[in-house]
Amino acid sequence: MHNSSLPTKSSPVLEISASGIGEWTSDDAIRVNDPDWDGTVGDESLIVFGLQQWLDEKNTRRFTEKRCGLVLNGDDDLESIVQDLNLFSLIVIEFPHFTDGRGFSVATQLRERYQYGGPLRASGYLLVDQLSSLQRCGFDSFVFSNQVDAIEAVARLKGFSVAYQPSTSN
Amino acid sequence: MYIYDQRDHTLLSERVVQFERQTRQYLDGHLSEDEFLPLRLQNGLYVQRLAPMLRIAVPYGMLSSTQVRALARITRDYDKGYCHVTTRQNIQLNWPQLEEVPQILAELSQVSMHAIQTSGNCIRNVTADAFAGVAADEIEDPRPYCELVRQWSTLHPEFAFLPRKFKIAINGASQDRVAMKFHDIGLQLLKNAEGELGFQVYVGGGMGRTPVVGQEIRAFLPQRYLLSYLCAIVRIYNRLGRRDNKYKARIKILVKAMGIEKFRTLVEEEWVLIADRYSPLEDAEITAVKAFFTQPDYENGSPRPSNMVAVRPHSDTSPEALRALNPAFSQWLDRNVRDHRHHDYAAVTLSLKPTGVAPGDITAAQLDILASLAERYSFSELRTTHEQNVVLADVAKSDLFELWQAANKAGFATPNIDTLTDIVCCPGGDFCALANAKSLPIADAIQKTFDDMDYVYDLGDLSLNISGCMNACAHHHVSDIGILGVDKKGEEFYQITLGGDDGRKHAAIGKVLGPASERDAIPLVVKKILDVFVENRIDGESFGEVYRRVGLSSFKERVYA
Repeated sequence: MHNSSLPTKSSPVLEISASGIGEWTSDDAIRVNDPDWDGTVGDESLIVFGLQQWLDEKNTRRFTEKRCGLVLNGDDDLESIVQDLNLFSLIVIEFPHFTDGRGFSVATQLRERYQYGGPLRASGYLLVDQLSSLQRCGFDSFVFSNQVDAIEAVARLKGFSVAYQPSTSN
Repeated sequence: MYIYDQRDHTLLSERVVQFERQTRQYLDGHLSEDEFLPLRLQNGLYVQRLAPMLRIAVPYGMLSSTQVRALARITRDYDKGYCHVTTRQNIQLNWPQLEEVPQILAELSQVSMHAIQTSGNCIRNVTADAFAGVAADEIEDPRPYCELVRQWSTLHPEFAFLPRKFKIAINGASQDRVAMKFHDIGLQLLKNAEGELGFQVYVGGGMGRTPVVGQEIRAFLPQRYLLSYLCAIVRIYNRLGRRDNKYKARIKILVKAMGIEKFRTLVEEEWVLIADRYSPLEDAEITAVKAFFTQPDYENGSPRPSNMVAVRPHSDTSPEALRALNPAFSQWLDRNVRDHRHHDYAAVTLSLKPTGVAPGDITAAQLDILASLAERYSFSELRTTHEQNVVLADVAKSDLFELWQAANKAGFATPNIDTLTDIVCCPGGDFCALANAKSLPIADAIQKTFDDMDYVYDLGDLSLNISGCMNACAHHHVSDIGILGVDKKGEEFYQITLGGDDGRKHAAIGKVLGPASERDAIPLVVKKILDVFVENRIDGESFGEVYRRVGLSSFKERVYA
């Protein structure tokens, strides 16, 4: 399954960030449309929306008190959520395949053009050799739908010691 | 030319280590075929019909004699003793072993060379006029800007997984010698009314199966915004370019589908927001890079090895005086030697198109000779051209006769530059896994058929390009006569296009003449086309001028009569 790496009740996912190796579980993130979800939300949990779900629900005040996350796809129109960016505790950008590089630009636009300063996570079928570039585009954590060696993934975050371009993450 | 600094060296050596590791992981089975694919492509490595092909970057065509000697050694040690100059000024090895590629890259890095981004869906090697810096019609030397773009695009974190490959060319002269309007982005250096330097920007040009002439997206872009504007264009393309069909994934399709006005609006909206934050090029940065491309010491001439007597560039051995004595030298002066900005110098094109050799191929022994010729006659530098030849850009006129003799001996002096037999040709079905048909035997047959140089000279400047498939690596859409290999139920056939122009006169895409012909018929078809041209031309008209005046039908009637 390469489509989504959001955690479900039965399968947490590997999470890599500059602070190391972790696990992203459904206690941390509840998909708002998860059929298995019983409706309860822990204090530390995120409720994660897709773009359209967010647009549909944001004015219902159903989750006003809760921490919210947003999942974006490569073809989502960022203009529609510009006003809401500071409401999210996490934005996740989906990579359906490692050759689909749209997410690199979505992340850069969120950081540079729309000044989003919160946590930004890449999610999907990713090569560990892409991690340093993803980080330079502004991502700060990574979850995988494919099997990766966690130790190697952390090592690959480092990337090259020099670069020609300024980095979005600096 | 540009000299690597510590940052360039560090980046390159880390890249070599990285690819060595990636190759090992692939060979160990830790990386799948699919996962290794984009990683190896971004290091120039294709898997071809008979062996892998490694494409080595030659940034905007500039090579030092040291680099050429290294290429000679690598070609000898890791390949079959020859390599190939491509239409994008790069060098291809046809027979390397996958296991040895990391070692080849390590050796290349010792002379500041690499294969980074010579293939794959990323920003490719930026190309420039082979006569940059010496052409009389130059507005501004494009090479410093090419170097800035090279650095900006190299391992750019955002743009390594674009919908499709992305090619940029920069033209600095009044004549377009880089096929600017057939690139994803074409940049024309120019000055505005205030004398400020900048670029006219074209976007969405391309060849391949859907040839398109690029359109102007901006009439004048001040030079300081070069990188931010490129960034805005590539970002919009990366977000919106099609990814569902690789044949519709180039930026030309996106620009056509949404229209240039809409595309321009999106780019300008993005650019306005990043223009000043995205490290605008400061005058000091531009000046620093320009310092690498200063004029050589024309007054004292190319430094010679110490055991040789220096010949001052302005000696009395006028090449013109030698013309009458030596008709072959005279022909070579006419076809292969161009005017130079400095009155005591000339720019010499060494032909890689003698009959019987695959166009653009060069042997290891010839590479060594080339390095020596560059050292002796052209300040130790040379350039590869987009027509698959080599240019010595700074040759003292007083050295021309001596150079001609040496070039003749090495097989570089075929006096056919810009003529019918200066054929541009891809490796085709003999090497390339993508090809539908062979291209090299067609080039050979045409060169052998048209071996009367008086006839060839009488035709004047004429371009004939042969691509083995519709990927159009030989740019057959934009030559006077284009030949495209097609597959008809397993048989090789060849389709003719006429009237293309890569931008030297006015950019145009050639029109298909009619049904494809079989291989053996092609020389005769070309002869019939040339007959129509010769019979119809008035007062030294070029092929293109006759074509535009008499139209495709006159040629069609003759060929299919």
